[in-house]
Amino acid sequence: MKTPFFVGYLPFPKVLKPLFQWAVPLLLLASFATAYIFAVVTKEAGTGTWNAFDPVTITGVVRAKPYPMIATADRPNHPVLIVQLGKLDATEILAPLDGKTVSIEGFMIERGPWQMMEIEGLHSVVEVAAVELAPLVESASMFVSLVGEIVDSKCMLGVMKPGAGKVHRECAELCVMGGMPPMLLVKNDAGEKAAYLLVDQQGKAVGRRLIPHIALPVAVEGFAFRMGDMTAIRVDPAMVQELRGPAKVAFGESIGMVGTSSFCRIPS
Amino acid sequence: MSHGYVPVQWNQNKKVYDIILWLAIVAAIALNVVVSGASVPAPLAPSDEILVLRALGDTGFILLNIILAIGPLARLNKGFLPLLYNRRHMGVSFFIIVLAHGIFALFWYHGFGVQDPITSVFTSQGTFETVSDYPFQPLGFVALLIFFLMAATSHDFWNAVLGPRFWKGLHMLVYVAYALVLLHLALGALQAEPSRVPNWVPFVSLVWVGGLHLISTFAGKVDLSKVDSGEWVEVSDPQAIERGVGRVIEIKGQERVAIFRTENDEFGAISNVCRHQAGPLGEGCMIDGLVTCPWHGFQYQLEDGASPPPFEEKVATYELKVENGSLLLNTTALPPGTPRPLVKLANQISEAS
Repeated sequence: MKTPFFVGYLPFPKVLKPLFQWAVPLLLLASFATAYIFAVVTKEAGTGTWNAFDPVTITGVVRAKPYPMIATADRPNHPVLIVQLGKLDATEILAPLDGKTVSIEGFMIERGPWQMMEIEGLHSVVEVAAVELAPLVESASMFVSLVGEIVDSKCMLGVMKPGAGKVHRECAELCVMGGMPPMLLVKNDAGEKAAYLLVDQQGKAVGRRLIPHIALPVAVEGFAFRMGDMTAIRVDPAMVQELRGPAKVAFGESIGMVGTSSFCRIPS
Repeated sequence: MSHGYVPVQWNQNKKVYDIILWLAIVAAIALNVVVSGASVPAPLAPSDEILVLRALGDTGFILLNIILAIGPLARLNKGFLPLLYNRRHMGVSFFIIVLAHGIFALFWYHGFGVQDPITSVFTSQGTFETVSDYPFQPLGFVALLIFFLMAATSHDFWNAVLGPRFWKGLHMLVYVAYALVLLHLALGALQAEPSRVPNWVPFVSLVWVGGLHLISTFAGKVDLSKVDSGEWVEVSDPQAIERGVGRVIEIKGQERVAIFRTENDEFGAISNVCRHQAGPLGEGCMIDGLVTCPWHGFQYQLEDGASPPPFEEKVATYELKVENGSLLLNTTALPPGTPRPLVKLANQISEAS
C-alpha cells in the first residue's frame, strides 16, 4: 500500500510525521494569532469602580424617593444612591426609614461625580441618633431634548464594564425590573459623556416603564433639574422615541462603548 | 473496536493529543485575558468577568473552526488523520469551553435578578423585526443545547444505543449550531462593539469552513465512482484501484459501497458505512488483511463484512462477479456479515500506478 495511513492504536507512521510536524504548529500559531487579534482590539470600558471586597460604613439621612439614597453631614448635597446586592433596589429596606438617620454598610460603586452603595440587606442598615441636615436642594427645571441611551445605573457606574450596549441589554432590563434607577447616557460633540437619573413627570421612580427602550438609541424630551449634585430628568415614558433610519446610523456605537472619559458634570 | 464500554480507551496517541489540546486551550484563554486586560489602562479595562467571558467565547469560536476543518483537511491529505482520530475529545473540550462561556453569560447578564435566568434569555425586549434589534442570546443558547447533545452522546455507547445513522444525523446538527454561532456573533458582539470585534471574523470563518468543505468535496483524494441504480452495475476501471486501498461507489438512491482490492488482487465489496461512527470505510485501507476505517481504526473482514473476533460489528456485503472481463457489482446489499466469494479478474491486472 502506497498511501500513508494513520490508525490511532498503532505507532505513528513515519511517513506522516513531516506534515504533522508543520501542520500542527501552524494550526496552533494561527489559533494564538486569532486569539491575540480578538484580544488586542479590546476597548476602554470607562472609569467606573466597584469595591466589592472592601466594605465601608457611612452615616446619613435616608431619602427614599425617587430612589433610595443617603445624604451625609459632610456632603449634604452629594447623596449616595443605595441599592442591594444583585439586581435589586433597596426601596423595601429604606422606604420605612425615610427621613431617619442611619448607619449603613456596603460596597462603593463610583464613576465621575456619581456615588452608589451596594448593601447586603436589612442587616446592613442600623438606625442611629438623628442628624439634622438641610433637605436636598432641588433646582428649577428646564426643558431639554436629548439623544442618548437608557442604561441601569448600577452596571453603568462600575459593576459591569462595559455596562451598556446590546450585549448588556438583558442585564440592564433585569436591573431596571428589579428597581435599579435608570439613567440616560448622553454625549456632547467632544465625546464627553454625562448621565441623568430618570424619573417620571411627578418626580417618582419611573424604572419599569422604560424597559422597552433600554440599551437603544433614543430621543428623550423632558425637564432637567438638579437634586443636590445629581442631575435628573422628568420624562414621560410614552414620549421616549427610538431612533430609526439615518438618525440611528448617525448615533453610532453605544455611548457606553465610546471614548474613555468618565462622566463629566452637566453645566448648571 | 470495543467489546465492552469504558469511559475512554486511552492510548499513547490520545494522551499526547489531549495534553497538547488542553495546553493550547489554556494558553489561548490566558493570552486572550492578559492581552485584553493589558490593551487598555487598568482603570479603564473591562471587568475581569467580562474578560474571561469573552476569552471563553473567542477560544470556543477558534476551536469550532478547527473542529469543522479537520474532516475536509483529512480528506484532502491523510496527514491530517491523526487530528481526526481524536476529534471527539476536541469536540468535548470545545463543549466545556462554550458551556463555561454560556454559564458565565447566563449568571452575569441574566442572573441575580427578579426573573429566572433562562426565562430572561428568551423574554428580552428585542424584536425579530429588525436586524439591529434581533435578540442574539437565544441563538447562542440553542447552539449550546446542540453542542450539549453532541457532547453527551459522543461516547460509543450512545452510538450503539441510538444506531449509527441516527447518531450521525444528530452530530450533523453541528452545522446548524455553527450557523447559529455565526449569527450569535454577528447579531451580538459585532453589533454591540463593531470596533472591538473585527467585522471580517464571520466572513473569514465562512470562507475557511465552507471553502475547505467545497474543496474537499471536489478535490478530495477519494476514489469515487457514481453509478445508476440497477441489479448489476459495472465498476469502471478496476485496474486503477490501488492494492490495499478502497474505492467508494455511489449508487443513485442507495447507501454507498466500498470496493477493496487485496494484496492478492482479489476484489470484495462491503458497505461504505462503518458501524462505529458511520466513518467512510472506502476512504480507509487494508491493514493485516482487514478493511480499516480511517476515522478510528475499526476493522472488518472483506470476506464477510464482520469484525474479527472477539468484536461483533458487522456491515452489509455485496456480490461481485466478472463478466466479459468487466467487474460487476450487485447493488442489492446482503445482510451484515454475509460471506460471499472475493473475485479476481481473468486477465490479471498490474499494480495501479
